[in-house]
Amino acid sequence: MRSFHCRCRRVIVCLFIGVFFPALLVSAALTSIGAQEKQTPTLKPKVAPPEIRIADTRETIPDWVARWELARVLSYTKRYGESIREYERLLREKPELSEARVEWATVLFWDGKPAEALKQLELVPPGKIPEKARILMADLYARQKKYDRAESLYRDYLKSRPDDLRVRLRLAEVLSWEKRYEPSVREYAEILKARPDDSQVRRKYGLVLMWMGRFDDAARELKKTLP
Amino acid sequence: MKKTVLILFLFVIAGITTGAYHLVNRDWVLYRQGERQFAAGNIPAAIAAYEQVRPGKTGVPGKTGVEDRLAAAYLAAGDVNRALPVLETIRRREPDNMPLATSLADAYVRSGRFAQAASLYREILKKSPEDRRARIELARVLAWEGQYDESIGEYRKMLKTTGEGP
Repeated sequence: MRSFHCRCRRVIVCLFIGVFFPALLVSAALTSIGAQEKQTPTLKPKVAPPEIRIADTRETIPDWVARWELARVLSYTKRYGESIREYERLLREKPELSEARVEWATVLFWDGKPAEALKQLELVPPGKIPEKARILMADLYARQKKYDRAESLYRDYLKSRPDDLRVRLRLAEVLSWEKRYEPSVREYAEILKARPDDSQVRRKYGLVLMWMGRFDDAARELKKTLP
Repeated sequence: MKKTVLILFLFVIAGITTGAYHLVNRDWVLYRQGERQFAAGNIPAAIAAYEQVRPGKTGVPGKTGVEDRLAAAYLAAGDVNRALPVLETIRRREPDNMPLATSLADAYVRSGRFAQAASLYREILKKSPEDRRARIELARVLAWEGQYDESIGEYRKMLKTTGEGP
């Protein structure tokens, strides 16, 4: 019985030494040893401001970041010439900035320089051209009567956005300009199924039917557009 | 038996001294807890600790130091509305504290108060015209405010260009 008591005491002592004392030490250490280094919280604007900021600026700001933002702001104020010059300087320094090149192309287009715009867009790897710019590229190809390239870009876009009737109309037009009337008519039919009251589209559709020699159909469609 | 009693006594002493230390240096312990939790990314726990700290106690920074950490924690938690009054209080107390002015201006940007941010960045630039970060932030907030010409002016100052010629 006595040896049992002795064993119990030993167990209690061991528990204290093995568990409670280290636990006390650890808790004291945890509360007293604080982290010395301060962290800077990441700053993200709460509101969604216009797209100007290129990078979240912390300490050093390279000139190219400021130049890019300047080019953007200049384009917003329609000072296209100055904007184009800044994009030019920026891309001379950082030719790998595909996003900036796409923006530059867009400003060139706004400034009435479609050929130069297309030239810049063609320099961007296809995977890095955003959808909107691809449509611009397709439009520019269509202007240059490179209908096959325009068609391919429109079709690619419509694969992911089949409900974009504006782009479908451009595809229908390009096909008709290529004298590929059957596929063009199919696209028009698709558009008119979704927007049967769009008289402008119906008139274009009527014209294509005329070009096909389907005068009766054309007349019927054109009549529908009259008040 | 005596040995056991002695060991138990030592443990009791250790426990009492640790407890007493926590009680006496409560603010220091809380401040350290806040720092540790902040560094570990546990921001709500850091805020809870900082909020209880009484500044100026043994080992604890003064009012500005603690409030600065509290504001940083609020910002890290994305709670700009709670950070702003804290930063504004420090700013009133320390108008020449430029890092603080920058933090406040940044917080104004985050809460969409661009006009206030612009005015503060301008103040910073008056004192340090070479502060590129303040300059670009000013250019940005001016643009977001729709003051494009002023914004362009700031960008150009930063780039030290006139915009003429290639």
